[in-house]
Amino acid sequence: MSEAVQPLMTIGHVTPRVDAVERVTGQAKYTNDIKLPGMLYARVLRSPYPHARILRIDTSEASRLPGVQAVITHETARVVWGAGAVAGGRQYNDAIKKTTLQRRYIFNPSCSL
Amino acid sequence: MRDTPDASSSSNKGNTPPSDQRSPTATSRRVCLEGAGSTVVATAAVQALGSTPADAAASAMTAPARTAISLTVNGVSHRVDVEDRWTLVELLRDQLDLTGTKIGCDRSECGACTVLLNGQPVYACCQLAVWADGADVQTVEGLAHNGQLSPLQQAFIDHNAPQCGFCTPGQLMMATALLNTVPRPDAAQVQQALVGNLCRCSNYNAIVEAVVAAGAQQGGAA
Repeated sequence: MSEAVQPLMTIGHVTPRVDAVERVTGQAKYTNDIKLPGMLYARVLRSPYPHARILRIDTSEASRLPGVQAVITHETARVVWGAGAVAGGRQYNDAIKKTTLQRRYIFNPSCSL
Repeated sequence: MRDTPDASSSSNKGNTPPSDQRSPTATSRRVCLEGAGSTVVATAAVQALGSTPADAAASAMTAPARTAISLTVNGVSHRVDVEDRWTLVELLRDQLDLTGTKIGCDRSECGACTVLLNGQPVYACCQLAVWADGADVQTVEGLAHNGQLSPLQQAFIDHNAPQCGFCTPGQLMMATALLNTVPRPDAAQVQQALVGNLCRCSNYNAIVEAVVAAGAQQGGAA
């Protein structure tokens, strides 16, 4: 090779983040910063008792509140939350329902409003 | 959690939390916790809901008490009709569309919501919006002037202080308060001041370096 080696332009040089300015000015958009038309808001209600057995959940009062679109419990949820990213956790649904009908831990969302 | 005797009152207009003139280097986290009594208000409201008939609860949900307040945010005056239960960070993000201020924990633990209230750093998640009546609020959106980054913001870029960047607005505001008080802080002072601002990327070394560098570079206000 007779050609001289060109100086490296990237390796060995500090490269600022492409969105560095957005991040230090508050302009960077995160999921919670996004508003979409018709967006619904959810609230998770957890069991106040650790390791308790849930016999039933009365959702009638919550359903009557103005603006409530749905009250989702372990019995009506089509997809169990927090069951992992694989296939949306669908494959765990039946197993988790069996388990969660017996016992609930404080970490488990037992009812969502 | 500090208990306030009048926490059960739904209207806190005029009930401003005690101001704290102590240096942010000495008590930065304590200063921000001054508004923690608002959590008690929320708890009391939930208990009241649970003990009232559904109809009363429904009407309470449709007509929350509101108060008209005036405040200045980043030099811009606003008159806003706020619900008494709103926190300052909800007012900033949801009503004024200033989403630079983040909600990380919503319970005075992480510092992502830090803003300057009359020059003092506070956790905006635990300040009621009505407490900000008449106040001057500074958020991350107000740090740059006419597109010119503040020296602190530039130092954050130069030292790669933001990784995911979610805690960055809070870190910047707390560090701004520090630099306003201590123009040339050393690393120990910066660590002390930022002790109430968590970074889940754990990029603390770069953040501290950036603040020290910004102070050394300008030796004045951020």
